[in-house]
Amino acid sequence: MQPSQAILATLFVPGSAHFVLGRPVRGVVALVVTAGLFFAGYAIVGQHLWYHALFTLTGTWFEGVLRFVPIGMLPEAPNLGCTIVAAFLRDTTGPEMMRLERMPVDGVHLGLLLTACSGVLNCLWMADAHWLAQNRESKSGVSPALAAGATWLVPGWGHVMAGQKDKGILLGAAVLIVFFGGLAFSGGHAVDRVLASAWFDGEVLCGVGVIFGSVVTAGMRFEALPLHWDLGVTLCTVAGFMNLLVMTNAYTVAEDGPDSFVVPLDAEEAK
Amino acid sequence: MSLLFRIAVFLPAVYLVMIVYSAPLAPTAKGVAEIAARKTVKVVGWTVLIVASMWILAALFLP
Repeated sequence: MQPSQAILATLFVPGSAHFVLGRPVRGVVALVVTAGLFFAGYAIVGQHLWYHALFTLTGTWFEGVLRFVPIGMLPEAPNLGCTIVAAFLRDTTGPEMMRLERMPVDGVHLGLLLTACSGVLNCLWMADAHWLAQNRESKSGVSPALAAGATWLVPGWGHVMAGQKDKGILLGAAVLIVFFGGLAFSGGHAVDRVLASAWFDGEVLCGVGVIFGSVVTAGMRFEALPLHWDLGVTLCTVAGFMNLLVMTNAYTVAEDGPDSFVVPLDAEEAK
Repeated sequence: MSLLFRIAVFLPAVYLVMIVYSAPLAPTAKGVAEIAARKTVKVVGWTVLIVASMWILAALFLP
């Protein structure tokens, strides 16, 4: 199986490429975890999930395609197979259904967190399948996708696993200070997909932060948004994208070993 | 938002972002922190220049 085929297969059916590549146990775990998270979240939020699509292109010919292949449904779309199944279960007829889509439900933050995490996890399973299909050995002894996944959950952890302990702690601290600083500025409401749906797509890239925000602080009652809520949302989203860079670097360090670093094309750049 | 508050948020945030941006350029925390410090100075310098230019343009052209 070619690495690109492994990515495509996992995109539609989590774990399918692992089966073909001779890793059936990992394939079952990928399928159960990814599909399980998605449908557990979908069972809580139901139709309301579709209200948080990043784009729908209403009124264009592409709207019909997005109805059944909802690539605008970020961050769930990387788990495309489950998202397509849910799209076929969707009922869009009549104003009552439109009202249901807009109406928040009990446990909305947890439900939306679970579906979002399924999308991120399937990206990591795709990376793992791509690595396995290349049939290479990692120089650090740690699977690059595992290092990236550990970094998603706890920023810096992947570097620690791959042998760059002090660098991992520094990077993790940088991401977490920005994320939790943002959460503090916003009074705990920066991570709130109901209030700031598009920003959540960036925030979800910092696993521990988005789990803490969604489970602990998002449900807290408030009478008015804090003065620096917008600053907090921005910082949390920036921290998410910072963690994406840390994840890609953790993948590279796991791949090339603990002594690896990039020499810039322009050597002066590093000075 | 006062200017002091903006600076107090902006400077550390830029340094922390630069730490992550510089991560691939060194294998140790010390190396990353040093490269990030140099890049922070560069980014802050450009930011001051751009903001000052906008203030000058606003003073010249806006009534």
